[in-house]
Amino acid sequence: MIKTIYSFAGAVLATYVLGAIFVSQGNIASVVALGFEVSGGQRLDAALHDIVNMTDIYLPLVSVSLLLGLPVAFAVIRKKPHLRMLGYVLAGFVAMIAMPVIMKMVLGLSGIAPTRTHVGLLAQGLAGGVGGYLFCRLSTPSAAG
Amino acid sequence: MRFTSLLLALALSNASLLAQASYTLETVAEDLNFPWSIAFTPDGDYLVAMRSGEVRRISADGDVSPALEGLPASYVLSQGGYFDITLDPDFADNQRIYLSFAYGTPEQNGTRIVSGTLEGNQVKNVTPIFTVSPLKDTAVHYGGKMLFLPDDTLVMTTGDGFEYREAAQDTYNLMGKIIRINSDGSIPDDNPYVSNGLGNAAVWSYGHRNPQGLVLDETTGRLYSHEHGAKGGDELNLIKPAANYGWPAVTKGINYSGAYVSPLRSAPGIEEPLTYWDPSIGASGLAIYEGDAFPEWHGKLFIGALVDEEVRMLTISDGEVKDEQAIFSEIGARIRDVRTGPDGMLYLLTDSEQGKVIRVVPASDAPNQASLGISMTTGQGQ
Repeated sequence: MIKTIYSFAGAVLATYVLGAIFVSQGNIASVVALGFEVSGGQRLDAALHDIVNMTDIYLPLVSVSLLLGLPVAFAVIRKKPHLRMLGYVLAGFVAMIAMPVIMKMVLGLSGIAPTRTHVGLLAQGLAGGVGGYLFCRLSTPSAAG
Repeated sequence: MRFTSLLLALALSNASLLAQASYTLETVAEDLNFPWSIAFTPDGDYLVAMRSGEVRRISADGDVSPALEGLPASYVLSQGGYFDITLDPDFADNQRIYLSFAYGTPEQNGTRIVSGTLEGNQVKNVTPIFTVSPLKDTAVHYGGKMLFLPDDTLVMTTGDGFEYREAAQDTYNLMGKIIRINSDGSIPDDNPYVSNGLGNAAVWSYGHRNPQGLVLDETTGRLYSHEHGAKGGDELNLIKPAANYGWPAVTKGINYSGAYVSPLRSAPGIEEPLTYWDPSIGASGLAIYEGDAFPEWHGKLFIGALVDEEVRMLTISDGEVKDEQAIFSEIGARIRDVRTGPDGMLYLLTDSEQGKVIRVVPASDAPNQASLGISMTTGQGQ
């Protein structure tokens, strides 16, 4: 159980950090597309800023998304153990795509600006997939011996 | 007529606090469904446009009419509904009024201006004269503030629709702009993009998010606007033709998620705000006090604050904000609009289903004017 908890915490942390960086760079991509210059230093500063400052809303959203997504994968994996890695990666991917899509459906607005684009949405899915991968690795049962 | 009065005597001993004035708050009308703007007719009546999608005429005695007939249905949802109402500069002769409102459907909506002729409780010959394009599928960020410039052209603010913030930087797109048109909807010949092909001919300035304050300083001819920023980015701007106010590429605010909208807080070619608010105050409604009732307030800017439930009084000198004070916080309500009336009084609209029109008049109770600190009494007028 403890292993599951820290595996989940690791997955959330990885998804959050990677997702925040994708949000940050997605927003900057929009600014650059408007014809403004953003330096490498400003990109780095923005990434750090966003990682530190997205904890109020985005971190709970990531946590809830994975909290809903990963158990679904677990239920499937119990019946199809050979799909363990694919199941968790896919669960993280889908959970992190579903989150902004559901927010948009409920609120009528995009709470996470870069998810207005397919690339931005897929980037969130990628972050979730990495989180799922990490959960799979961290929660792998120890070999008997 | 029923007046609820709040008597507030401000006799502030600190000489550094400007604009001491004793005033009474009178409720002109109440139980108005989200009043958004007010116009003053020459005969002393008030026209109040409400976001709920109706305009009511309120007599000087406070009698509220049924909704004016003849005005178009509005897309009333979230921030959508009726917005601003203003009179034609020649209203005394032509009785023409102008109404901005959310037009359309959930899938296709935007800010539209109609004009018509006011006859009693009816508006006749109602004609659309301008519609913001492209239409959008969100029910927020409409802008909608209007005013006539001294040359009788009409300017109006437009919002970015929230989901379409990048449109504010597109000079061919009418979202996130201040537009300028003639009173019949045609385009003035001297608009900045009329002949150079660099933008939509109606555009006056761009790079705005959701401006809901607009006022002309009749002494200097300066046009001021404020806009709702994202988290911590409400701005007061001096509006110039063809100027870029930055949104969303350059902003002091951040996304509600906590992420930067942009890492750029300033940039070459981008107009800097005269001031900005972090945290946001929810700026709504803007007036320059030009009356005689409060000499201490002459020339000051008054800005309604939806979030802070008060009014901000700003002193501007040499193009800079020199002083800012909170005022009218005793009302304890979201302030949607602030206007100077032709009677020289200040008028406030509160933002709720039981919204009020409040008139600020000089305190007649002379002893209270001399008292120190805050002395507040409430009472019922006739």
